[in-house]
Amino acid sequence: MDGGLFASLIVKNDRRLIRYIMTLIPRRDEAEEILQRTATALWENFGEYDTARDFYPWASRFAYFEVLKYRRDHARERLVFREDILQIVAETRDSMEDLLEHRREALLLCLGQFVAADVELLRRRYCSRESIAVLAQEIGATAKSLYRRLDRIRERLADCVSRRVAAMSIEE
Amino acid sequence: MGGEIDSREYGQLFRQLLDGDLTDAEFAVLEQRLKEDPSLRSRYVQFVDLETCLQDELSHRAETSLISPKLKPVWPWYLAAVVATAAGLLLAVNLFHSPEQVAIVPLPPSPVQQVPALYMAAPLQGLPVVAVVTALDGVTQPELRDRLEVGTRLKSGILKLTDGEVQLDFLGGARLLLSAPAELHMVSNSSATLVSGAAGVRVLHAQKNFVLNAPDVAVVDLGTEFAVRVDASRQTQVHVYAGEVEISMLGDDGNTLISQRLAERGTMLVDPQSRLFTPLAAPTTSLPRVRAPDAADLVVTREYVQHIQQSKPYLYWRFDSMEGGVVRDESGNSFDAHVVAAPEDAGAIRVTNGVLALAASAGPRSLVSVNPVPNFNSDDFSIELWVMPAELSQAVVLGVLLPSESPVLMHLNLIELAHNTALVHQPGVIRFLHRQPARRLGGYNLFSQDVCTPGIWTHVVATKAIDELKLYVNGQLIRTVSGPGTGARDDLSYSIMLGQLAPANRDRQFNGLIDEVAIYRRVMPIEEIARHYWSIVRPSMSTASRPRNSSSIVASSSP
Repeated sequence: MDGGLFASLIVKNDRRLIRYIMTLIPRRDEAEEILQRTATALWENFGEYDTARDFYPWASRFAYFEVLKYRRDHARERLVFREDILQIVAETRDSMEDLLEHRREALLLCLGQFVAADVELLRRRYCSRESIAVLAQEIGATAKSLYRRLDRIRERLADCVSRRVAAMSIEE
Repeated sequence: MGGEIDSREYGQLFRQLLDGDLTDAEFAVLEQRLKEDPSLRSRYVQFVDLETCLQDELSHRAETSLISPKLKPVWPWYLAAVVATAAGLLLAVNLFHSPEQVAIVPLPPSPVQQVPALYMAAPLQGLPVVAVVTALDGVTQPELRDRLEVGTRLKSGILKLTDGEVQLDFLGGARLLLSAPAELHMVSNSSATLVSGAAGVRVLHAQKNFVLNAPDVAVVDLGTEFAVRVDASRQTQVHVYAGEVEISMLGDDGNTLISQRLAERGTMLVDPQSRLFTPLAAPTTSLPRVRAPDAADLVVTREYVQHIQQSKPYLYWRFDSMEGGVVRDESGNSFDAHVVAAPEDAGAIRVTNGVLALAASAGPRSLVSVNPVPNFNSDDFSIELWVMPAELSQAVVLGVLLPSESPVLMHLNLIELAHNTALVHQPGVIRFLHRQPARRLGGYNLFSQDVCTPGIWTHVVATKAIDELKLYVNGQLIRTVSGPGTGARDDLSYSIMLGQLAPANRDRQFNGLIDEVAIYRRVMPIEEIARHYWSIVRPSMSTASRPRNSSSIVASSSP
């Protein structure tokens, strides 16, 4: 098997796959674990991959089956979707892939427009282990006001993404 | 949760799901709605997808914090595992089961070579950081994430370049510039293997020799600067810019088979096939040399200066100018500082572009308060400054010590770059020492966790209360030590000194930049420290904020 080709394809697609998995299992740690299992399954079956076809649709089917396996093992845990819900959400997602890619591109453009302080605040919230209380104390705000500020930033970001996607549609 | 739910509430619901905060009943209703309502499913998918994109994108952006970015393995472990499998685990064997001077088993054409990633950490847990990126030039990076940046810390692993140059400061004390196309295996903090391409090496402050291996060859520095190029036929060319090196041709057991010493300005071609060392008059190919780290500007905003002045420091050195070797105290308390250096060493300490620039010198050089500060330690205090080292070495940024007429050098405080010291700490970190009574040994130490990266400005605040010491780096509280006597007081006068350990010798000379030194007679709260830090790091790019090395520096007199 061509390990180089596989490595190249997985590097290009792994973030897209994690987004797919997160839609079905919306918890980061579990999704990353499922991605790892998916990558192993993909490698084991890479000989069957038709290089003339797009890698992502082929890979996302493996991701879906790994999600189902995960669900069977964790069905009794809280906040795990039923299998019928997983199926229709996955189908919905499949039908939206182009739109979701447009939205991702729009997000990058929007982030570039945002005030650095707002982006940094989001980054700290998403990527650091600090609690809201600690973060709020650091910037001299209350936890409540920080929650409101984060919500406002996210709302503006979502609006920006929607506007840009609409503009892309017009341009096309 | 019955009845109609508007879009805002759905957003809240989706967020609660992501945060794991939905109740079982709410989750059951959400499932039902997702099943029944296609438009809600669409909104759900868009919401979660955007959140995931956002988290991914932000997690790969450099922290605005000047703490060096966390190590970000470019390759996920599962990929590394696959690659290791594909490569027959030769990589792991080469990197981790061999002595430092290792006979490299050549990798077969590996999948690594086809991937646009720059760096792959070895897929082992618990490996320490061995090097930090200090310069990048013309390197094509893989898309938007997993980018190497100045300050990125690297564990043992592989660095591959298809274009450009990357400079690494190894924590063992050597600086290495890798020039593309090249592949470097970072083995430890004092050794690496150049599998292909060219590298320049300068040993800065190594406690032991730096070893640069090439296939079948090892080059051991003997206090030097040199360069190595490995060509496609595995011939190795070695050139010494300064000092000398010992070149070993390795046998198949990985030990030296034959060796040759190469002196300054010498060039040697090493051919492992014929086992021949061939002296050359000059390099027959271009060879790289290390350079100073990429230095970032410190943007001192008008807002920052206002914050400092509102905090009412009783000593404030801004380094806007130095006249007659004297730096003014902007606090109004006249604790001016002056250069203490022999004329031949005075050039190694200067004010330039609004910062204090310190270079290595043959003799001692420092900036010292003209008059001792009375009652420095009679109450609480805080020390605040910005620092940017040019290299990783043990080096004193600021010392508080008894005046020079004291018979023995005795420190009350040190803020220094702690690297390869006799104490236990991470390499290349900030150390705050409080030692009362002032003496030569002992005291309480507070260390930061992250490398104080050459070429990057770091904000440091040390606070002392009667029973508590704190160290803040880049606006964040890093360490607290408390208990009776930790911040013990006295009524003595102390000198404040920048740039080395003692006035009379060049121990622990600091090489780099220092700016905005302020001392307060109270403990600064975290909110105030964060406000200071953020007002420099997050300036709105208005006319009020300009790079410190521009021609229009914010005047300290016009906040």
